[in-house]
Amino acid sequence: MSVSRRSVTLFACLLTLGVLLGLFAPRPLRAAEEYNFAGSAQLDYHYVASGPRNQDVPGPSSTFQGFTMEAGLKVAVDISDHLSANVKACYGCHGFDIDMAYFDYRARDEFNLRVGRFSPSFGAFNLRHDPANHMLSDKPLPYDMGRMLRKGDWNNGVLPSPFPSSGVEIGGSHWAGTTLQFDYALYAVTGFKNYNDPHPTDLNFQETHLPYFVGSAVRPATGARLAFTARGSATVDATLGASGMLGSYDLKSELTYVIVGADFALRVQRTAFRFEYLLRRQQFDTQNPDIFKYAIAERGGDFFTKQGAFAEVEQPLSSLFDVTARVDGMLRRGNVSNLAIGSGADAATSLSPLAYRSYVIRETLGLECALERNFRLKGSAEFWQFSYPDSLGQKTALSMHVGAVGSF
Amino acid sequence: MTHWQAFYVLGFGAATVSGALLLSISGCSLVDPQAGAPQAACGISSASSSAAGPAYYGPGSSHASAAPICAASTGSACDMCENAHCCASRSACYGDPVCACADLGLDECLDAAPSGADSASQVARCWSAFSAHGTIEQERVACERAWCKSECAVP
Repeated sequence: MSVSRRSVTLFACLLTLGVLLGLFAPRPLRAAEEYNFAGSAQLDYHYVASGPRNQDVPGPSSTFQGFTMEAGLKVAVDISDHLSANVKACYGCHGFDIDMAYFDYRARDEFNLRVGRFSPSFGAFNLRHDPANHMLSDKPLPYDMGRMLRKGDWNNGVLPSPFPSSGVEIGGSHWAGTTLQFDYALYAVTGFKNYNDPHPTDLNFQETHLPYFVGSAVRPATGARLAFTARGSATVDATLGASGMLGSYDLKSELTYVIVGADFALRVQRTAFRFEYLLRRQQFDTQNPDIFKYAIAERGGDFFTKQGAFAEVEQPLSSLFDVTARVDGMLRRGNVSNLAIGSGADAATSLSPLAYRSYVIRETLGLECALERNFRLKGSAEFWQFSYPDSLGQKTALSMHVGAVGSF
Repeated sequence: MTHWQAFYVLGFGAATVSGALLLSISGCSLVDPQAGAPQAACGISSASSSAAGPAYYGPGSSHASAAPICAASTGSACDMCENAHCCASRSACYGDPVCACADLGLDECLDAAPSGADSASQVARCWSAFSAHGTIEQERVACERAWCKSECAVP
């Protein structure tokens, strides 16, 4: 054994010994640490009255019917006055996942450094994506993660929520007196990807929550959010926000996606009104024109846009009941891929029913009953309108949700 | 600024920003995607084409035929030659909705070609238009040109 190899071995042994001593050495108690456990679970039953697409088993053009379960368990630890950690494990349609695993270092209210895995700041709904935090069983269409009808046709919403990613975020809040609050966030995260398709035409959300979690993109997705909140009184406040995100999603980091959004929320006593608008501009690979429904246009033919918006009103009727009315929809414009996202195929796998311009509109009326403060029943009816017919020629559909949600 | 003034400013700001956003997206080329003519405008219905494979169209049959693409055929010399030497590219074409429709377009284009002096240039245009649809079409033409140039009259 040469001298240099002997030195390396010695160094490795000392390092190992040091680590072991560090692990087993007595440490002072940290009285300042505070733990907070929180969790929620929602069981929902979804019934779709008619439509052949609605009765398929889970697949590219199907809808989830029957029972679905969403659950989450979160641990928050205040390590010191400036440092905290959050870990959240969640269970949903794809099994278990880690929704959050990050540290927050808050030097002051105006500067917080967040590192780890988290959903970057975008829009207002993402803050209350947990089913215990919204009155209806499913999410608004722009944030839909697979509960919508004909989800395979649309590849889910504009920005399926939550969208955990690994990265770093700097954010903070500043109060101007007691009336105005200014919030900001800047972040760089792994972002979305589609590494499976040889000619990617859309984000493959499956790859975000399946191994490998890492992405090979050297250039991370970046984004920002700004929000202003005005408090008219103790019972009246309004928030106006704007968000943006830019990233690339293919292996060569050549195909970009840009997502912008605007949100507005108004609360007057216990009545809440919310409006959000999202737009995603998505480039796609045009090297294989065969997979597209339309010929590739010479200019402006390498991308599509997907817009989505929702407006909702929540109104308590009594201490027991709340009613929610929501109108949401999406509009997709641009060329259409006949390739199933994530299939890895290089040839068309099906004829997409979408056209150059396709839309979906949904009207929802929901009722929530609080049996106890942390246990509520949810019921809602949804009327769907599509711009294109299904195989039975139907452009409309009716669906219903009945569920229960608990939190602690 | 009083509380209510701030409230109205925010409300007005929200309406203005939202309106401007909606107006801008309707006319801005950055978010106004373009697309050419439908490539599969030959009447193949999406309901009958839920999977890839030779189910979209078969030679000498109506739409959605499930007949084997490369089976022994008593059809034209071109069909027989392609079946024998270019089965893979032929199957790939008939299994793809765009290529299947482009093939129909090619047949119509060749049928419409005049028989006079302009025939050669018209035929060349037909094949050229077929190839322009994509890589599957190009591979099929390349194989036909290599093995069945005379049988299929590939320019």
